[in-house]
Amino acid sequence: MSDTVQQPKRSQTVPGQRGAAPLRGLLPLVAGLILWQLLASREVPYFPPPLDWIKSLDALRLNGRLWPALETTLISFFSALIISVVIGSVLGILLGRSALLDRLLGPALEFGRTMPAGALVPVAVLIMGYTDTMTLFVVTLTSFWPILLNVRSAARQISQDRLDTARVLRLSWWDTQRKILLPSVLPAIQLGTQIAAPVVLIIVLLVEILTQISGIGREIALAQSTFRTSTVFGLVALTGLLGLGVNWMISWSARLIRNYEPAGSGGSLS
Amino acid sequence: MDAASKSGRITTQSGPGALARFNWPGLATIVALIALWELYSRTLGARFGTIASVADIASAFNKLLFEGPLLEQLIHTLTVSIIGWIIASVIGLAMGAAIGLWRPVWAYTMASIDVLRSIPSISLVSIALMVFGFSSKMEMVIVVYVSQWPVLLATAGGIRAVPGSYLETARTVRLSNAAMTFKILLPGALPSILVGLRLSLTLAIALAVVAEMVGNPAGLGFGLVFSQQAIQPAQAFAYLVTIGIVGWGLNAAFVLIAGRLFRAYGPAL
Amino acid sequence: MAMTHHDDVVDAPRQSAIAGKADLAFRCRSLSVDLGLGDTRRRIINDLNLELPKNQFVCILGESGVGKTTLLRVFGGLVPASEGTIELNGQPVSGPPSGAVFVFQNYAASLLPWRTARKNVELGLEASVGKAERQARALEALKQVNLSNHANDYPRQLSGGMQQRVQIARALALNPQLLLMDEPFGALDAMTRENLQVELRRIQQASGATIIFITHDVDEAVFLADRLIVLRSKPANIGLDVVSPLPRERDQVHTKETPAYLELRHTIYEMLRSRSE
Repeated sequence: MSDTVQQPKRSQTVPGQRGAAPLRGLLPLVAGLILWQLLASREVPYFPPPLDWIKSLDALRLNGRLWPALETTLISFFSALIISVVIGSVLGILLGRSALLDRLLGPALEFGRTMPAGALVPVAVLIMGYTDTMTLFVVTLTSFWPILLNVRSAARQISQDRLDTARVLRLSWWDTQRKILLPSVLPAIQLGTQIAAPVVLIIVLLVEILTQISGIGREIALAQSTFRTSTVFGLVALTGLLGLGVNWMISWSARLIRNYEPAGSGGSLS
Repeated sequence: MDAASKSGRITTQSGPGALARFNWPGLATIVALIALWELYSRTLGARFGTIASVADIASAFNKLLFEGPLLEQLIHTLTVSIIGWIIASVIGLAMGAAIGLWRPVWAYTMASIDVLRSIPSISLVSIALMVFGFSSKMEMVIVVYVSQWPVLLATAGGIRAVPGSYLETARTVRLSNAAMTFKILLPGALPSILVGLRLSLTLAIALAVVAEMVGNPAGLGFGLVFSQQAIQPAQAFAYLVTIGIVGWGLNAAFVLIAGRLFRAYGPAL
Repeated sequence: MAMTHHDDVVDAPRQSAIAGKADLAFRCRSLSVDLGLGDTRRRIINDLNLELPKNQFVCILGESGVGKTTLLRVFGGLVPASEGTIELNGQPVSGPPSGAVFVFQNYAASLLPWRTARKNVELGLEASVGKAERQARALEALKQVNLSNHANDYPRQLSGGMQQRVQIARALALNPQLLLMDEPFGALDAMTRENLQVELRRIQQASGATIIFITHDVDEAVFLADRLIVLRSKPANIGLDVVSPLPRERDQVHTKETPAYLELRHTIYEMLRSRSE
């Protein structure tokens, strides 16, 4: 069982195409925010009105703390994502093409795959200290699984005829990897990345909250421990926007690799 | 269809030849890795002071279990995860069904749901901390809120993905709406729902542990962070291993039970 | 009609005996193939002998499961022979030989969906030929299969028959002496198949290559072949090796009404039917 089977049809995950949620679905959210703004009062400190959030974020910006924190988080996010993609893809291909490796490493990987995300962070901090390397290491180790699993599945299922085509045309080993194997698993890489990206964001923030060195996570932890509620809400909304942005960006990349999906049209035009 | 997990399982079906099919090389690899770790920790790793050997981890585990708080913490985490997961599943199934079955509901909520579920769960922990304080209530709220999304999405998605041909069949034999829902749509969505439930369980455990690490001073997550801050590597690893086993165990239990119960639905699991 | 029954090792038809070794495109001797591991290891092909001259369209016929595909894959170097020898133009075959190209039945799997038709055709040339020449040869090959207008289309934009033609063009671009085709029209509808059969004969005559074409469809084999080989089963060996009396120019309607066609077809069916009794 894995995160690879039963994916929703492409149209359900790519915004802007048939089946994407219509914009009027935002009504409940907008209505909720407006209601919140109107009903919130100073006496209930836990739920400050949305406009206060913006004011607090602006204060943070004027303090010079907002952009550096955002920059740190984004850099951590993208570096970890790229490394996760590379390691997940390479391992996925290796495990998918070598039945022996798969059998050997399978159970060990299963244990790593089911490890609750986040549990590794304290241990990583303990061993590697409060460094950027530690952050990269623990984020990658936690979130490359969906990519690995998807790519492994795709690499296993590459049609034998396609591989034989490479042999028949007498392609070199490197050409076979580059021109046949890698493009064939590209849709799986994209899908795995789509699943992994939110996890990368979460673990980056978790590390920042736990270590409180830098980044948006640190700002959230600081604000929360000093009970600056509207700052916390503002920052949470900001991370929500980050999450949305990340999701959209990656599902948009599905459109780029449209050509790599297998040609299902055999005979449909004849 | 997906055989990706087969190699991960240590055992296959029971019956004659099961002993031969047991993944001995896989088990051997795990044993080898453990042995390698032991070697490393006693030689190159010794200078770090923070890499505990397997023997140390085992003895720390023993101590924690019989003289320390490990058992209560384990029970706490298990309880919160499982109960939270059950509540989340019920909520997710109900809301997901509503969204899946009625198009207007879907049209007027889906975009909001997409936004809400994009908020990284860790950020929500901070809000919950402020509102509920350092308590088990905070932990439960987080677990339920975050874990219901996969179930909701899988239920709604599964229902909406039921092939049109099934629906046409229903109309041809003139099934009532209720009959169509219970005989075609829900069973048709079941494979998707089961995947959602499994993902939700994984999330429930992960979020419980994270909430314990950052807020609630109870459970395995708290034990883990406590050991880290007290610079007790053997203890920290003991907690890590325990958490790992919980994650693996609940996952395996779900696959086993759901696989048996819903065998008719095929290898979708 | 020249007919040779192969009950044991016998020479191939008169043509090649007269022509002499220099004209032989392809030859295999005492070919045996075992497949499977351990207890399931079986002899699929047993002691098969075949000699093919250049410029001949050969059809290998047989029921499903008899081992036709295995045989073709052995010829193409995709599966190793357990015993015996295979030679292409005098060179022993071990691994896909240069000078021979394989065409798969599953064109959707064999074509690369992220490459245009032209780039797909160029795939086999990229390692050995410069860009300009590659492009020219690819376009020439596409012209041979009447797909010049679709050079920049992606496979998903093409019908099944067109995709299969792209695969054939890819093979032709390599100027092969031997074309191995594994039921290439099996996944296509009847009308497309008939059109492609006519085109394939034309291509074979224009290029002078030898084609070994596998099929289980008797009509297809009788229509296409200059020479017909029927495989008998378990383990596979040659049951019938016939040179076709049909003229070079053939047509889907008229040829199929001639007595020669009907007679040959009858003979084949008799042979196949007698095997299964």
